[in-house]
Amino acid sequence: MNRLFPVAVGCLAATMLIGLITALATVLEAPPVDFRILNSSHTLLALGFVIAGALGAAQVAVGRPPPRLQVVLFLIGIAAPLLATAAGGFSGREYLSWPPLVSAPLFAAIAWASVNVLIGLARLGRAHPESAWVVGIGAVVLPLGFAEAHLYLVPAIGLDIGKDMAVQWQGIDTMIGGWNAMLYGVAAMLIAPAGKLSRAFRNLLFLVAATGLLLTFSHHHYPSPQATWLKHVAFLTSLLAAVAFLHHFRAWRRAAPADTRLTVLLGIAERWTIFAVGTGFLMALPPLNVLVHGTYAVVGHAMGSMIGVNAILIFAIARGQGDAPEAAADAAFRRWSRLFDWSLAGFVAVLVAAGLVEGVLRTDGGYWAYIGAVRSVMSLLPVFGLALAGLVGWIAIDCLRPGSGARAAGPARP
Amino acid sequence: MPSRDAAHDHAATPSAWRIVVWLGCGYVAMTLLVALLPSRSTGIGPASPAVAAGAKVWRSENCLACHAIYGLGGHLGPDLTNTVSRLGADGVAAKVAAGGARMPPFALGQEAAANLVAWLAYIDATGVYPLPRHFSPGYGDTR
Ligand code: HEC
Repeated sequence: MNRLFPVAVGCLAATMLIGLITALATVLEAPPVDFRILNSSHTLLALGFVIAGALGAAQVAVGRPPPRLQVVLFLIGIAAPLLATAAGGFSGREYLSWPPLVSAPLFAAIAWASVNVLIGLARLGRAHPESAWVVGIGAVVLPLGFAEAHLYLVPAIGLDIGKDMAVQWQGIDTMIGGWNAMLYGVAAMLIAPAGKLSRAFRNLLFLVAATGLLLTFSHHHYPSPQATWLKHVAFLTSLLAAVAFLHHFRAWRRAAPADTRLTVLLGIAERWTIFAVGTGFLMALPPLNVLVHGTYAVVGHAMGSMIGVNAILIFAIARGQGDAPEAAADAAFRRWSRLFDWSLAGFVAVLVAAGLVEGVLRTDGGYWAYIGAVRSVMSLLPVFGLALAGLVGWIAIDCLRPGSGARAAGPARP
Repeated sequence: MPSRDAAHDHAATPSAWRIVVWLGCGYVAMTLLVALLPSRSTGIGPASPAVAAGAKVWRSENCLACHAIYGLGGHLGPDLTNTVSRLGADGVAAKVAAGGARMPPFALGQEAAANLVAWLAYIDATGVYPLPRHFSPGYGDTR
């Protein structure tokens, strides 16, 4: 049984609730709760959701579902930073914004789960070699990236702003690459019958994971004083990753099975993957990067992939790993999923529009030239945010229903 | 597994060991490279004790929740990469103490406030952000 799935869903519910409160707090001049606490807790819980979701799915996929004690460690790993943050303790970093010492239990839980995945990898590999490669890569790089994001504690790195940003973003990007690899790997296993992907393609997947996931990080901060060679590497691998993605995508399409709820969900993830890769590629082009870097447009890219890809894949996998036969997608299910697509599209469009407004206006007048217009655009965000929260909740409940998800299903036996 | 030959399978079956060794070592090597080779900010305003102490204040007060450096961080307030150039050291210290619309006041004490400003002045010296014009031909850096 995937005991981490309920943990993930709990984190998601809290993420959405705190997200809505945070949105309200940005409107108030003097919010009753410290904005820094709201903002940091929101990010922590979102991380908890995706990490628990990805590691739960991967452990079930290799036939070694998370043991109870690991789940307890995960809960402590999320509760400790949450309490420290609520008490006003911060690291002042992006994503991992709690005091670094309280990262220990979360790191231990991640490392435990990753080792568990690697132990079971050979078994998964016999039935689904291509998935096993990708899931294995994720299990190796997720804990490494998490640890690397703490390297700023070494003064030679943390007190050199160019190095600090390069190391930090390599860490964060690797972490994100790690959970994406695990989720895509498990999802591919659910739709692609073993051995359908060619050997050359498997090698390509490995190459993409090893280069695209690990080396594109420097485009997150082209303007910072990081070493110039890193920017060239990031730019080149971004181009390579986009080409490789097109290959991957064609193979994925050919393997897609018949019309079930699972495929409807995977279809959503597919559309938002195209969005995420497309916008990621655009933002890696230096002239466009100059325009949108550091604006809400980048947040739009991140939300499209966190909600449209990561969250949906976690739900789809919970369905696919369930032991109930997959139900055909009825008209109502399709209608609601389309509504989800449109709400997320609206949510992302608001963010991208706000980002473009900032990008155009900031060059001449700075903050005061853009902030008014950006706030007006952003005032539309809660409308789509509320709709989205409702629809995500509905999909989660649908996946949690007895017989429809979160049941153990090891790899198909050869 | 009837349909595929054993040799092919053996080659295709991933071993955790291989992934850990190749990818793990490659990753650690890349990290060391990024961490050890100089960046373009290396050697600028050698991190003095005041700058180091200021970095601690910056982190523990979590200014990044609302402010960005080189575009990375929060979006509620202005990017602070060049705030010392804009407001001057005293202006920044005064702003931190007074707060503003949507910014809480911070009672840091004189020394901590001065260190924080030293940290921001160090960052200011490492480059310019955002760029003064659109569609720069390079990566958007000016140093
Ligand atoms: C809750 C959000 C928030 C936090 C936390 C916050 N600020 Fe601000 N800050 C703002 C906003 C919004 C503005 C712009 C509005 C204004 O000036 O009142 C601002 C403006 C500034 C300015 C003026 C920038 C310029 O160039 O015009 C400085 C300097 C500044 N903050 C420094 C800091 C420092 C240092 C910290 C951490 C100790 C901090 N702020 C924490 C929200 C915040």
